[in-house]
Amino acid sequence: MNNILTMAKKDLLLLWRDKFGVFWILLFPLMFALFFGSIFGGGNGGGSSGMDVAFVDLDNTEHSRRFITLLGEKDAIDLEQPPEGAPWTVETAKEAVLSGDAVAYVVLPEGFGGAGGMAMFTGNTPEVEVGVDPSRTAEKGFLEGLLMEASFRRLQDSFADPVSMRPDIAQMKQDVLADQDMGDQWRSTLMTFFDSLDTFAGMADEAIQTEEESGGDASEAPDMSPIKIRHEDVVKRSSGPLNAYEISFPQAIIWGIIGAAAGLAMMLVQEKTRGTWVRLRLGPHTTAQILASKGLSCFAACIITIVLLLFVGHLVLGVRVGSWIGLAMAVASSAACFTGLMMIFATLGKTEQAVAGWAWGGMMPMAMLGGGMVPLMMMPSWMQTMSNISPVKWAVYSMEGAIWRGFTLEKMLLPCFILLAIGLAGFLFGVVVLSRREG
Amino acid sequence: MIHVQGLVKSFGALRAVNDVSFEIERGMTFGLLGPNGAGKSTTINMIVGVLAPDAGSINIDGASSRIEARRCIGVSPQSIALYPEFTGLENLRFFASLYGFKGKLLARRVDWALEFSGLADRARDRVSEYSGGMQRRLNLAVALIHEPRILLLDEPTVGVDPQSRNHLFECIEQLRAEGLTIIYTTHYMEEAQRLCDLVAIMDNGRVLDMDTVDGLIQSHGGASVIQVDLEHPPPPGANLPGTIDGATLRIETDDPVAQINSLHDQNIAFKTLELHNPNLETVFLTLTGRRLRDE
Repeated sequence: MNNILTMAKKDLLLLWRDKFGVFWILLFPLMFALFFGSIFGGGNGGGSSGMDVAFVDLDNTEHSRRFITLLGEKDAIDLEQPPEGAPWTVETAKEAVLSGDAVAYVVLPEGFGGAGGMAMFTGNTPEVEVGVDPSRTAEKGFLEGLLMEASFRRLQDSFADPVSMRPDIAQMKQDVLADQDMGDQWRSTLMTFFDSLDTFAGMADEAIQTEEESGGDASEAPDMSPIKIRHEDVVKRSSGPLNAYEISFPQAIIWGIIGAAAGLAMMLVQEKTRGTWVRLRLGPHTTAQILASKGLSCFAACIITIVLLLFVGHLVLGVRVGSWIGLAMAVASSAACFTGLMMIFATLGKTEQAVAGWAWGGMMPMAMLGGGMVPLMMMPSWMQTMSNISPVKWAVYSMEGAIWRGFTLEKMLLPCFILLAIGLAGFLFGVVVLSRREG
Repeated sequence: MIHVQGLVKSFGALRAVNDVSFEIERGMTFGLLGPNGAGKSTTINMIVGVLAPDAGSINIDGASSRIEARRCIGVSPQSIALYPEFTGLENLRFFASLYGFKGKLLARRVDWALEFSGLADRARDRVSEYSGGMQRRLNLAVALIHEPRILLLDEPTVGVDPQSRNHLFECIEQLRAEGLTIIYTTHYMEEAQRLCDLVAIMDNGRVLDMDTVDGLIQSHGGASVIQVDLEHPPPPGANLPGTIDGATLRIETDDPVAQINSLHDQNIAFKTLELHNPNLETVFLTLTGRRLRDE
């Protein structure tokens, strides 16, 4: 076992000293991830994008439109545009959430804009319907917070302009008098409150006029904010990628481990052409142990490549990890798969050039078909079906599953099992063929 | 110490080694002399276990397993079997650690190897920056890093400049003096003549003959040849040894010194005198009808 570790360590050191190899294993994948990540994501720098929300405006008043505009001005909310320019209906908005086009929908009912946002005083508080996937508890809470904030903002606007509030007060007084279900004592209390409010609005009107006549600044009214908002960082959960780097990094990782596997396949042949293979075979170990060390070095190189790339992606570019255990399974099984492929390619040629040709020539179509170039989610369905024959697809799929697809550990088993099976078959094939060649 | 019996190895239709047998005693330097393609390297590869023979047996110092046999053999392959991306020090450390050396013992062996190869001051340079001769010396040092009892040298001087070749010869003679058993393959007869106690002449996969250098010359070298360019053509009927062609006298003899003295006693004046003693080249020519370096 010591000799296996010693030889594997030697291979990793040789790989590290090959500057050209390091470029293909680490730098090229990183450039790939950054380039395609910025293309797919429109260069959002890795910051979180807004939550797509469909607003169904059944009230369709100036107040309701203003309310939606207020929310749309927030970075955290992107107003999802309705299809074909027609306004959202409850049905189309629900469909948008179901299909994943929107994270949530909000229905503003008729009468929402009545009483200038003070309808709560008349007992006619409008009921806003929020539709969110039940698993998205974080988004649900966050969205409710934003809705409340906007409601208070609307109230604040009213108090900031008391004169414009007077017609609403008159309307509310009429509503209270007309409400037969309301108790006399409550009606009396509210009427007293509205009278006081109307008096306040009238005095404010006079104060503004006096300030203007004396040349003062009428806008210097005291802050009438009903509440203060404390902002909390809310970590969003979603079933889709948070940013484009979550798509481009699994792809980039594939190129990294292809580079590592191709490099080590070439190194195995290089040992033979430069004579060190004979020296290794003369050591106090079996040929199977030498081949095991080759497998171990490739496995370790793939793991290191994946971990380094994910480290950059996670810490610098905001790539999340949905499941660390799932990711560990994906990383280990992908590394095992490409170790097996390395062994196969090492048997296909007797010179470095031949092996390099086979390795890159063989793995390139696998990568193209398996989502190494075009993301799986962007492929047409027939191509997604075809991609099942490529090991790259299962490697990308398993990593996406652990990063943003929200796979359960049970769901991770299939891609991981396929990758391990390919890796084991490839490794055994390589060991048998190479051992036979050695006589 | 090494007993090889009836070795046979074929590659497809080509029989590279055909019924090769020999025995090497402890402390002996054994030479396998033959042109390229004679089957020397194939024989070596079978001895060290890199190639499996089609037939025949190999016994190395009574070792019971292939791995045990490998532990007592050091091999300096024909090609430079080193990692050029590593320094000389790293190469030595790596190969020593494969044999279980670690700590102070490892450091001691590596220091010895660097001293032996004369590379102590270049230990931290990458092998790719070494000259051909330095690489050859390191190649030999790596073969010795685990203190083997048997050393196999496969064409160790190929592509080496005269200075490095001399250094290599001195190293090998030092090892020989220390009692190491050495198997030396070469197609340079002067190397075999200088270094080997016992020489096997190989061609076309067969051992044609095996003996000491003197024994082989005596058996197959023939007589020494004296070629004299005379001052004046001798008069007709003169009593001279050998054959005369114009002013050139050619004498084949087993005792060239006596013949030269005889010419001197007869007051025969000559411009030049050349003495050709038989050597392994002559032996090979006699045995195969070809020169060693025709290939």
